[in-house]
Amino acid sequence: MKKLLSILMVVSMLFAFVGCGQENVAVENTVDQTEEQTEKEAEVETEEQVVNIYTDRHYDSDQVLYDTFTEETGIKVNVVKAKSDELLERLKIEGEETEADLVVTSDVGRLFRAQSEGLIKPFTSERIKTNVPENLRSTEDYWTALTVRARILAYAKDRVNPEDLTTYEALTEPEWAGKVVIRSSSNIYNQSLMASFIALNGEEAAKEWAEGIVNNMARTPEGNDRDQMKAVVGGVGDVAIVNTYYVGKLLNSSDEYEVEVGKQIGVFFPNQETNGTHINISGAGLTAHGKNSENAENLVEFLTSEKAQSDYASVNYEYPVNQSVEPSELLKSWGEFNTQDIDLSLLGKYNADAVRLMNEVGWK
Amino acid sequence: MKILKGHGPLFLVSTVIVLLILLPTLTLISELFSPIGENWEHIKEFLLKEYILNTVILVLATGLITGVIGTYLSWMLSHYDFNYNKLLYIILFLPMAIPPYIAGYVYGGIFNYGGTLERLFMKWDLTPIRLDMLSMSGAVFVFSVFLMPYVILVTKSFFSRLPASYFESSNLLGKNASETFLRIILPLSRGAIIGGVVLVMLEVLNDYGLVKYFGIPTFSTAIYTTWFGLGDISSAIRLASILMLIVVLILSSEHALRGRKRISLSRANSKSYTRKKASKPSRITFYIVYTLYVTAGLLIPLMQLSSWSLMALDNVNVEGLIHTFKDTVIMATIVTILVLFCGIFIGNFNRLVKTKISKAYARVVVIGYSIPASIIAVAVMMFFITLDRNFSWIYKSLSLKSNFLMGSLMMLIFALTIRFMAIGFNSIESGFNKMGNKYYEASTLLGKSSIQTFIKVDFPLLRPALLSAAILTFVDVLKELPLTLILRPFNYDTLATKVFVYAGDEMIHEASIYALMIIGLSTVSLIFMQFILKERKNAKN
Amino acid sequence: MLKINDISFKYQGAKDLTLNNVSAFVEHGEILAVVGPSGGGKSTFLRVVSGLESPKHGKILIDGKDVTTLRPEKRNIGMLFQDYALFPHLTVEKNIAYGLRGHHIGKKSRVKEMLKLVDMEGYEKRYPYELSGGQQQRVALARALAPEPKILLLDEPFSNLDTELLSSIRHELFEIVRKLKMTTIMVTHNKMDAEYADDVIKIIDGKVDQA
Repeated sequence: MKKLLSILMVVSMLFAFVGCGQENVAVENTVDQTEEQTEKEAEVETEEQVVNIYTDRHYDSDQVLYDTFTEETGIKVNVVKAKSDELLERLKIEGEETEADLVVTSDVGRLFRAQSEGLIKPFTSERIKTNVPENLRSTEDYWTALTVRARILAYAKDRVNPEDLTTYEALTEPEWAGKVVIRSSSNIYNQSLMASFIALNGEEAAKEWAEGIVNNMARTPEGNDRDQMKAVVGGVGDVAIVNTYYVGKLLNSSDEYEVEVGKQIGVFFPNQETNGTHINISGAGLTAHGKNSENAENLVEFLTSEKAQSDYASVNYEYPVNQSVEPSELLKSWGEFNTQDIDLSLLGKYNADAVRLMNEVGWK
Repeated sequence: MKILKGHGPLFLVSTVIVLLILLPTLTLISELFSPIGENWEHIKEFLLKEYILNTVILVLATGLITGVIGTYLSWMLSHYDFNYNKLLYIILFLPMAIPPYIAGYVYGGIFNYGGTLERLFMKWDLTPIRLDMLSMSGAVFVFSVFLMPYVILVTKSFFSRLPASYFESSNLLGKNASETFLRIILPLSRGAIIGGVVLVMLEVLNDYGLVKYFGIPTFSTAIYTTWFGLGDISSAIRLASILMLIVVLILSSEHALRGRKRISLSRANSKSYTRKKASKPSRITFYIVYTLYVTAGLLIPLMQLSSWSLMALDNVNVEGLIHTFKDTVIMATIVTILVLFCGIFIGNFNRLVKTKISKAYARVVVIGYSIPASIIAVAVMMFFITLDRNFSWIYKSLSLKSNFLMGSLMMLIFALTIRFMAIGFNSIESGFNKMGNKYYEASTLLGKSSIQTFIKVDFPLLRPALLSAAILTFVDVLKELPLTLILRPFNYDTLATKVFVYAGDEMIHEASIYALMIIGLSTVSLIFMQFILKERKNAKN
Repeated sequence: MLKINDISFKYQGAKDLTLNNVSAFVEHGEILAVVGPSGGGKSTFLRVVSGLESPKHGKILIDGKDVTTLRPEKRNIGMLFQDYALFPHLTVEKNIAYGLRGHHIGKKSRVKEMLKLVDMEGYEKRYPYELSGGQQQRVALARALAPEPKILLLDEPFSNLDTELLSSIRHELFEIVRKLKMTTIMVTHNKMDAEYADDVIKIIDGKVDQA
C-alpha cells in the first residue's frame, strides 16, 4: 500500500508542479496581485500586465532597468536568459504557442535570422523611431538596436606603436606573422565581422583576408575576447581583435589582475581612412505571436529612452543608440571614430557565407 | 501468450513504458528521410573529418588511460593490504562527484593566461610555465581523471568476487605477482575492464560542456551548433545518426571483445583471506599514482572552486541559489522515482516471464544511456510537439495552455528518465537476479497476490538494489547538463545549467558556488550509499 | 623431510592465535593427515606451510633448508585447493602446463604424461567448465604435480564431490600419490580419509591435540 500511495503522491505532485510551471514566476512575487489563481486558470483579462523576454544579454545592469520599468509602468518583466541560437530555435518550435513577447540578442545577425524566419514582427511605435537613428533600425522596423559595440584592435602598449596600425587588412601582412590573436570562427562576433567584409569587399577579398589572418595567428583560436587580451599582455601575440565593452570590463573587473591587463591594452579603431570600423549591435524585436506586444513595445521605448540609454552607457561600457545620450567617460577617452556604412541586416544575410568561408580557410 | 497469464497488468505497463522510450527514437529516424539540409554538403566536405577524428581520439585515448590506470588502482586496493584500505577506496571514487565540465572550468581557469598558476608564479617572481590546457590533451587529461571512477567501480566489484584461490594457485605454481596478474587476473577481468571502459567512452561521447569550453569541435558540439546555430535540424539529425553509429560500434566491439567463451567463475571461497602488504617498490609506486590521482581529481578542483567561491561570496544572490537548489533537487527526485518505478516494473516482468519479449524490453531500457544527450533532446522535443498538436482538443476542454506538455517540466523529466533508466535498471536487474524467483513462487503458493507479494516479499529484499539505483540516478541527474540545457522550460534553471551559463559568461567565481553545491550534494549521496551498503554487508555476515 | 617447528599464527584483526605452537614432521614419501573440527586451524596450517601466510613464530624446513621466509612461488610446493581453482580461461592442457618452465615440446610431453597419470587423456582441449567435479579434481591434481614439487598439499580434497564417486576417487588419488612417492599433507574432516594416511595429527583450537 505504502508504495502505491507514494507513487500516487508523486504523480499528483508532478501535475501540481507542472501546473505551477505554467504560471511561471508570476505566482510568487507579484505584489499587486489581487485575484486568486487556481492552477488550471487560463489567461483572464484582469490579470496583471506582463512582458516576457527571451534575451541573450546577461548583465545584471539589465535587471535594474527592468525593475525600474516595472516600477514606472506596473508591467512585470519576466526574463528567460539563454544563447540567442537556442532562443530562436525555441521560438521556431513553439510557433503560435510561444509565451515570449520580445526577443533581445547581442548581435544583429540573429535578429536578421529571426526576421527572415518570420519570428518577429515590425514595431509600430513612433517613439522608437525618434529614439533610434535609422541606420540602427531594420528597414521596415522589424528590429531596433539597443546598444552599439565596435570590434577594434587591442594592442600591447609596451610593444606596439599605434602609428603602425591602420586597417584590419593590414594585419594580414607579413610583419604581423605570428602576432595576431583572435577567437574562434564559431563566435558570432567574428562571423559578423567577416560578413561585413563580404558586404563591403566581396567574397573573394573577404576570403583572402580570413586566410591572411589564419596565417598570421599566434596560436589556434582558444578562449573568448578577454582571453585574447590576456594573451596579448602575456606576450603570446601583439594585437587582438575584440569588442570594445570587453576592454571596459577588464578595466573595471573586481579581479585586480584583469584590471592590470586592461591598463596595458591600447584601443585602436581600424580602417578610419578606408571603410570604417566594424560595429555590431545588441537589439530587440517583437515576437510574431507574442501575446503582450503592446507591453513589449512600451519596454523597448523605455530601453531606448534617455534614462535607460545613459545607464547602458555608464555601467556597461557600450555605446548608446540614442543620439542625445553621451557615451561614458572611458569610451569618450578612446575618441570618436568612423563606422562601416552598411545596412546592418547584411551582417545577418551573409552570416552563412561567412561561416562557410571561414571553414574553408581553416579558421578553427 | 500462455506464459503471460496472470501477469497481464505487468505486461501492459511494461509495454507502455517501452513504447514511450522507443517513440522519440522513431520520430528521429523518420526525420532522416526528409530532404538534406543545405549545410550538409558543406559539413561533409570541411568539417566531418575533424569531428570524427577528434571524437575518436578523445574516446580512445580516454578509454585507454582510464582502463590502464583505473584497473591498476582498483587491483592494488583489492588485492593488497594498505593502511586505511576502506578510506582509500572511498576517496578513490569521489572524483565521480565532479562532472567533467566543472573540472574543465577549473583546469581551464588554472592554466589560463592570468590563471591561478600564472599568478602563483608571478607571486614567487618566477617566469610562468605555460601549459596549453584548452586543447585535446587537456581534454583527455580531464576526462581521464574524472571518469576514472567508472572503471574503478566496475573492476573493484569484479575483483572482490574473484576467488583468492586463482591468485594463490598461480603463486604456488611458480609465478610471481606480476606474472599472475598478466596471465590470470587480466584475462579473467577482461569483461569487467571493458565494461568499465565502455561506460567511460559513452560518457565522453555524451559530454557537451567540456568540449565546448575547450573549443574542441566534436559531434556533440557540432549537433548543437548545427541545430541552434545554423537552424538546420535535418543536418543535426544526420550528425546525430553518425554519432549513434559510433556508439553502436563501441557497444558491439564490447560484446565481441568480452569473448565468446562463457567464463563462469567458481564460487568464492568463504575462507578468510588475509591481504598481504605489497612489496616496498610496489607500495611506493601505488602511493605515488594514488596521490597524483587524488590531487588532480579531488584536491585541486575543490581548493580552486572554494577559493573562487569565496571571491564571489558578496555578489551571490542567495535567494536565487536556494531557489535553483530546490528546483534541482525536486527534479532529480522525481526522475529518480520514475526511473525506479519503471525499472521495477520491467525488471519484475523480465524475471517472472522469461520470454523473448521481456528480454527485448530489458534491452530497450538500456538504450537510453548509450544515446548521447543531444540526440535524446532532439527526439523528445519533436515527439512532444507532435503530442501537443494531437492533444490540442483535450487541452481546450480542460482549458489548459496549448503547449501544456512542451512548455512544462514534463518534457525534461521524460527525457531524463529515458536517459538514466539504464542506471537504475541495471542495479535493479542484478538485485532481481540475486533474489531469483523462489520467494515469489513461495509467496504465491501461500495464496498472496502479485501485488501483495511484491510489497511484502520482493520489495524488502530489493531494497539495497533500489537504494543504489536511486542514489546513482539522483547523482547523475544532478550533474546532467546537455539535456537540461536544451529542454528546460521557461525560466527554469538547475544548478548545472547555472554553472554552465556563468562559466560561459566568464563569471567563473559565481559559477564555482553552484559547482560546489553540485559536488557537495553528490559526494554526500555517494558516501551515504557506500555507508549503507557496507552496513548491510556487515549485517548479513 | 618436512619439519614444521612451533608455528604460531594470527590473522590480522583476530583476537586469538589461530595456530599456537604447532609442530609436525613428515617423512619423505609419507602422507600426513591433519584432522580436527571446522575452524580449528587446519586449513590455516596448510596455508602457512605453503607460504601463503607467514607465521609469527616458528620455522618450516624442507630437506633441512629453512624456507620460512621464502615466497610461495619459490617453495616448489604443489597444492590442490578445495575449489580446485582451475583457470577458467585456459584449456586443460594449458592449465596443467602452467607451472612448467622450459621448451614447448618438453612441456607438451610432460602434460601428456600427467594426463595419463590421472586418466584424463584426450581432454587436452577441454575447458574446466566442461568437466565434472571429479574430472576437475583430477586435472587440478595433475596441474599441481606437473612441476615435480617436493611436497603436495591437499585441502579437503573430497568435500566437494558426490558421495557416489567418493570411494573410487579417493582410492585413485591415493594410488597416484603413493606411486609418485609424494610427501603429502592432507587436511580433512573425514576420518575415512585419515585411514589412508601414514600419520595423523589433530588440530583443535590452533593446538595440536596430543590425545
